[in-house]
Formats: sequence, structure tokens, C-alpha cells
Amino acid sequence: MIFTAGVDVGSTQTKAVIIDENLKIVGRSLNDTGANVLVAAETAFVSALEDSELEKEQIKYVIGTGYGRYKVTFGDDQVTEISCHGRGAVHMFPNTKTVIDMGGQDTKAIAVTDKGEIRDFCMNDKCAAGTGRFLGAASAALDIPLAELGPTALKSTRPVRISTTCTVFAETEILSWLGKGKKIEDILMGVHQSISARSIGLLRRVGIEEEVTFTGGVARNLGMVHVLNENMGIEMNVSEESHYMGALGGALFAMDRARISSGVVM
Amino acid sequence: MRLPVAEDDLAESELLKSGWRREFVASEPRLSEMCDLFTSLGKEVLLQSAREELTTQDDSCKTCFASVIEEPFTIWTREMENAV
Repeated sequence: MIFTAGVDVGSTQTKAVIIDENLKIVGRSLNDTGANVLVAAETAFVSALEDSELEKEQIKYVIGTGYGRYKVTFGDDQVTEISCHGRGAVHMFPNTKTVIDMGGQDTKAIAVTDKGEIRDFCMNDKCAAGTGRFLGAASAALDIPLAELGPTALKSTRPVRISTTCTVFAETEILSWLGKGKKIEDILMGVHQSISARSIGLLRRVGIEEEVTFTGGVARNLGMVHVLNENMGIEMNVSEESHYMGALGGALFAMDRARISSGVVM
Repeated sequence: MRLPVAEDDLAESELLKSGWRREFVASEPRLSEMCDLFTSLGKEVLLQSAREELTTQDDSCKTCFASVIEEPFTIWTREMENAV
């Protein structure tokens, strides 16, 4: 049995996925990236090995991807995270035509072919405004854990209009709305709406063709999923494994290469 | 990666007239990755320094961008067949 791995070193979290030759996930792990990217990559890989009950020697090929992919020094090669998210999304949802990947530092809109190859893409312009980082700023300003932002926002009845997606000024604006007596859930829904508007602008640049698959860490935020679905008038694909999609794509690319080196006809 | 930086500061209108599309502003380490990817899609890539563009934003953005260490570039692309 051939096993391969993908290690996705993101700005906030590092993910590793191990697949078998049936392209089934047999191990996965997620840890904070922190200051030492190399350690984060190694930790994720070792944890995924433990999860799969495999030894390092059994992994035929490892692909590094994401922001810190060049720090996957134990890997065999690197592939861009846009390519990996496209590949992973189409593997998980074969009718995917468009991918929205929302991570800690950036948001990418990706148009893909039936095989998961990239047709076009674009990402947030200039700075991290309107990305997952903005949610992080809201979490800090309101002292609410990231995981609770979405569920809290969904309780909103009268969302406020957030005028900025700048992470630097997020706290100021949020505290200003609190000072005016607005409810936390209404402020948070405003934050989600603001990010949604910016993300849909990106998607429009590559074209919103269904099915749309939502990947990246922010895809775990139910509030964000709800707002994007509502504003686009569609139902996006969201997997329990959404935050592993880049690592999964990496593992799939690794399997292609492992099969070629093993002489397996694809 | 050797980055195809524009030697002259071409006006946006000239670039648009020549078939270029403005993509987005990025800095390393993302910049090289994005350029590689656009090239792999069969696109010609041109970079222009975005430092001036960013420092002529409103005061809040200007202050923030002043702290950016890596040089920011605007990525322009066009299909290879549009190349003159």
C-alpha cells in the first residue's frame, strides 16, 4: 500500500493529511503555526503519522504547501497552496467549479477545471483587511473565542453596518458600536457581512460558477458560511475537512508523483 | 525567482490599453508564488512597485503600509497571445 502526505503550513495553523492509494484520508492533524514554522511543520507531520498509526518510512512522498511550504524540509517537493486547495476541493466535491479559500491572512477565489486544475485565481489586494485576520481582531476586541464568533453572529436580529475591514481599526469601530449599546451578536453579524462583501467581490473577479466550495480555516465558521450563502443566493459545499483541503490537495499531488516513481499507470 | 519588474513606471491606462489586467498587490513570500502560478496559467506577468500607491492612501493605511518590510508590487498579467 502506498501512503503519501501533504503538509500545509498556514500563517495561523499548520495541517497535515496522510492518504492511502485509494485516496482515502488515513491520518490528519492540526496545530498552531506559532513563531517556529519548521517545528510546526514537523509537529503536524508527526501527529498525522500517529493518527494514521504509520511510520515515517511508510510515507512514499511528502508535499509541502502553504505560506511556509519551504520550511517542510523533510518533504520531497512543494506545490502552491492555490493549486492544492483547488485539487483538494474537487476531490472532495467533484462538481466544484469555484473555490473560496479563506485563511488567517488572506482570501483567495479560485476557478478550477473538472480535474481540479487552476483556470484563474485572485486574492485579497494590498493587505489582510477582510480576511480571517479581521475575525481574529473582532474576537480579541470582544473577548470571544474564535469558535464562538459564528454561532453568536447567527443570533443577530439587527446587524450593524461595519464600515471598515481594516484589522488595525476593527477594535476601535467594534468598541464604538458597543458604546452605542449595540448587541454583540449584531456587531458580529456586521463583521461577517463586511467580510462577505469583500470576499464576494473577489469571487466575482474569477466568476461565481456553481458548485462553489468553501475551504480554509474560516469555513469552520458557521456564521461566515451562512452569510456567504445568503448573499450569493447559493448553497456552498462545506466539508468537515474544509480546513484540511490544502493539505489534502498536497497529499493528492504527492500520490501522483509516488505512483509515477513506482511505475503505476495513472 | 527572477521577477519581471517594469523598468519604466508605465501609466495604468497604457498598461490596460496593451492588454494588461491589474491583479492585486502582494509582497514576498506570496509574491513569487503568485507570479509562478500566473506564469503556469500561460500568462505574462509584469510587476510594478506599489510603494508609492500604498503611501498615497489615506493616513491610516499609509501608517500601516509604512511598517511593511517587504517591497509591495502590483501584479499585472496578460494572456501570452496579447504580448507585443
